Amino acid sequence: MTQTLLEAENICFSYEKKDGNVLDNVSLRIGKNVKTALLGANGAGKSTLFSILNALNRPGEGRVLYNGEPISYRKKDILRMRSEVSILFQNPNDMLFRPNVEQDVAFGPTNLKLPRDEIEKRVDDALFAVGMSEYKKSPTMKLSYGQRKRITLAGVLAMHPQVLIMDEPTAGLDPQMAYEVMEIAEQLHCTGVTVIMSSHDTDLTYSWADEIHVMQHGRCQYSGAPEEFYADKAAVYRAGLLSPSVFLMNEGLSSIGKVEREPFPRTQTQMSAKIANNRSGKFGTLHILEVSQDTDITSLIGEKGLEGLSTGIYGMAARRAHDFSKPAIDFMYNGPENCTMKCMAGKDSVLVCDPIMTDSARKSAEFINEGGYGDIRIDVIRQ
Amino acid sequence: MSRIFEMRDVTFAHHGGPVKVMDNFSIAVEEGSRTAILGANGAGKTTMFYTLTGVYRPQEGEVLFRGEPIEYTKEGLTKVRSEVAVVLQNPDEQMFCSLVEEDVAFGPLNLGVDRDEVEQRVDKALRDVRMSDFKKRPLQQLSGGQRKRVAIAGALAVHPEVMIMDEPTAGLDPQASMEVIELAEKLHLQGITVLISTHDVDLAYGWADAVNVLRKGKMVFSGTSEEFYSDAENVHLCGLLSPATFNMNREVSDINGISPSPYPRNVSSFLAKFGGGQKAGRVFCVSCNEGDIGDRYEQAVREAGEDAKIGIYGTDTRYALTGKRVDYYFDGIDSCFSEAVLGRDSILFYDSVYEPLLKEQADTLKGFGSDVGREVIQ
Amino acid sequence: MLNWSPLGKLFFVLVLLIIGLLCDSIVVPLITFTIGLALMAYSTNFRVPLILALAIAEAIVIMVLGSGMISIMGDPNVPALFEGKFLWITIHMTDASFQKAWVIFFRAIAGVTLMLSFATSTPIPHLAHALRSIKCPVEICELIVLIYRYSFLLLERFLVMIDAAQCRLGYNGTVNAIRTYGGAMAGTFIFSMELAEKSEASLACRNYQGYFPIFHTPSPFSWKWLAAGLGLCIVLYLINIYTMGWIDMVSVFAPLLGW
Repeated sequence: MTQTLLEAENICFSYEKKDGNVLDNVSLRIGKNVKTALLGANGAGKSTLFSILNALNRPGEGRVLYNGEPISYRKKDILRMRSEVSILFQNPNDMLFRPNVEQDVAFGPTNLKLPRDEIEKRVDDALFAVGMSEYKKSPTMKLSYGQRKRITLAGVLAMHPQVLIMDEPTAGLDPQMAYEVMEIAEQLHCTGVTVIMSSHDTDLTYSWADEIHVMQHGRCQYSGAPEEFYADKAAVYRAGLLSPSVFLMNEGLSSIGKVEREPFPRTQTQMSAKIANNRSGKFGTLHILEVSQDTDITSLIGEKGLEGLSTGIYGMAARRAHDFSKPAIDFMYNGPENCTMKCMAGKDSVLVCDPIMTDSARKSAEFINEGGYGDIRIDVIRQ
Repeated sequence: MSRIFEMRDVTFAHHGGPVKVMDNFSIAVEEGSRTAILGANGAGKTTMFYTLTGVYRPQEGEVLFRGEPIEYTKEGLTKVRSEVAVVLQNPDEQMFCSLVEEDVAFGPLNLGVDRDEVEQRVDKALRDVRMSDFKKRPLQQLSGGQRKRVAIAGALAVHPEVMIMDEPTAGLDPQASMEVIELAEKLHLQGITVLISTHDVDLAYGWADAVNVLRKGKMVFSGTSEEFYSDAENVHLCGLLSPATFNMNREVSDINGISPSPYPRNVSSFLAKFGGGQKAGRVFCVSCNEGDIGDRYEQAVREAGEDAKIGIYGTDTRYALTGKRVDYYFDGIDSCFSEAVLGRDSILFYDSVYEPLLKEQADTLKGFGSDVGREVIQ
Repeated sequence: MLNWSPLGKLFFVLVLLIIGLLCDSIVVPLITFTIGLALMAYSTNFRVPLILALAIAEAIVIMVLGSGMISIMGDPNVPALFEGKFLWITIHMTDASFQKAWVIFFRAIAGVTLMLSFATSTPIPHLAHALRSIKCPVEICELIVLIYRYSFLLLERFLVMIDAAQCRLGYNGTVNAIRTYGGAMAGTFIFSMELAEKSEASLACRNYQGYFPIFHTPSPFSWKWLAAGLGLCIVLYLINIYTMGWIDMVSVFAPLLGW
């Protein structure tokens, strides 16, 4: 049993009395470092619930517990809580308060009254994490929507939150940028931050979240593992959602006995591996090459004798190292999945990886090995 | 088919400034086609739409509508715009009135349509987007998703020949997105040219006949989806990722040592390719004109058997079947054909306008070696 | 009441206001006040919004103060009901000044309710339409409509920004709070500029022809309004003559205050 970090107890809330309750007796628990997704149609009350969890609004009834203690709503306590729980709003334009990028990212840390050097360091790190270092001095007005989104994400990261609540983090972003945001979320998860995101994109959250909470007309209708929820078609319909396509394919194929129903595949790679069921016995090796941010990737690959293989990249340190030495990379996006797939097809591959992300990088390969769909050797090369 | 829109070597910069938002840009859109415009944020999709409708006048090159260059006079532009409706990404930018019905009526009134006709159009358009109950509401009381629907209704009320939608599904929940796609299919079946710009590659892959890919104000690809996604390098440069169905087909084909072609674009054809082999089941088709089902629900269940899964396609039918047992409320065509591919019978209720889609789907599945039988319930 | 002719409503309200001012009998302002109150209750469906109630309360407070001032500055040659000195103000309340203050108080409050009943029942686009029909410049009418629509969008944006700032601890300390409000205001301003820039293009997309058409035109000004207005005017004037001196506020209050 994981420790409960944030808990809503019988929350009722309405903006104006005559409009009725926006939240109606909502109870849910968010476990420490559990990848949590809040799903629901437009207007189901996701954003309102977030505003309650962060003490922006005070519930009419019920209470919110943070670390097991009820929020006191005293100014000092709220400030302390908000320095640990951050929200990334859906529309980046709502979060830009300063004329230039650097100042805007520094907004949160400055409010925390941190020393100047610390602020500067945090700003640089946060800007790098979102790939916007070169825009440090740009005016925020001149940036595009996607760039603004990254800046606001950096602004939140710079506060070093314990809990990060992301409201529709990928809405309006192009696929590569959406993937990057998800990778950052995974990275934060690996560094111990509890990440909560709201979304209607069931395909995307299915591959990421361990636990889902489904909101419908201001009530929390379901909390738990995603599969159980998606198996109930009527409930999915009532909640205004659609089942993820990977889940549907698995259900379809397992119903005629083509594949077994469990384990449930969560990603395309896992689904493909299940269907393909390569029995030729020829599988590749997944070399996970751990690098730090100032590793020279090209020479390290040469040193380990891994030249000429398909390479993927994963994690912030790996991206920073890549930025530095610019080696040729085949898979800038979806590195772990693509590299695993190469191994499935009988070829070796190299995944240049941030050491803290290694466990999450092996997931798909382990899924394949444990399910008996293949036998991929995982070779972690530490430094 | 003739070309409804064409742009030849267009170059455009805002206020004639140094930054070219469109650079030596050419595109041709076939009349009656389903065209997707893909590209990363800031690739110039919105600018392209504005240039097509004559809002922006290019510094170089020409824009042709029905084979004739657009005249940048009030009459010339009104002529183009009376046939072209645009739905912008952010609905707030295109709403100017304070009440829902006033806003929907805005477009047709500007075109001088007479009031009784406008009244009918407004009612019809609001029904199509399921916003009839909100007719008299002030706009500021609506949520983002509702505003988007009103914006779409506003475009429908113009009765356009060309419908341009900029990121129509951004910010909408999955069911609302499916409704937008159903609407786009309906417009297509009515002979209307539909252009959709989107980041959602999965959605575009299942829907579009032709894709046009933009990158930094240039047209870098136009053709079929498969051709584009097969060029991984180009996909990467354009800020896109290839769709899930496309990837999985390529991966599984690669491992099993078979050709990736024919390419499945939806779940049913994917299952036909990799889960097939068994004798296909039947789809019992119930065509509903304006939601009129009568006692055919019971009849269909009798004929197909109690176990048959039930799917729906189309808003009118979905409403008519409220309260009945249904398994696939959305995307019923794909789901029911998937059932059939897997060897089971199923029942599909659909708005009668979508008839051609069923035939299209059945033909596609034949190409994957699955011969799905269709039984019509009269 | 939403569908009543805006020009008609305006005419009716103005007539009532003027007659209320012309009459000296306290009964007339009382009647106009009652009509105003009834109309306002009707137009807001008997649910006066909180913000409106606050506005009315504020107006009443101001009027009480004003009437109070009038009542204590009576003619010094007439014997006083109440006399005294407060700070540097000499208080000299007479029969006439007390009565006058009440009349003015009721006139003012009748005016406020009447105007509010007009305001709550007339959407801005209808007002713009009415202004256009009395030959007000088109540019001003269009501007009114756009400002009305955009003010809601800007307010929405501003409120969300305030929330967002709280999440980033923008109110940790007074200086910070001021800077944050500044930032939010600047953000809203930038947003309004972007909106204005885009609205031109999106208006073109929706075939804007230079004026805002109104779908459900409110009913036009008709002779009924004229008749009702003038009729009521005459009735009230007759009542004024007939009821002159009916209610003497001094004698009403005398037992209470021991005059």
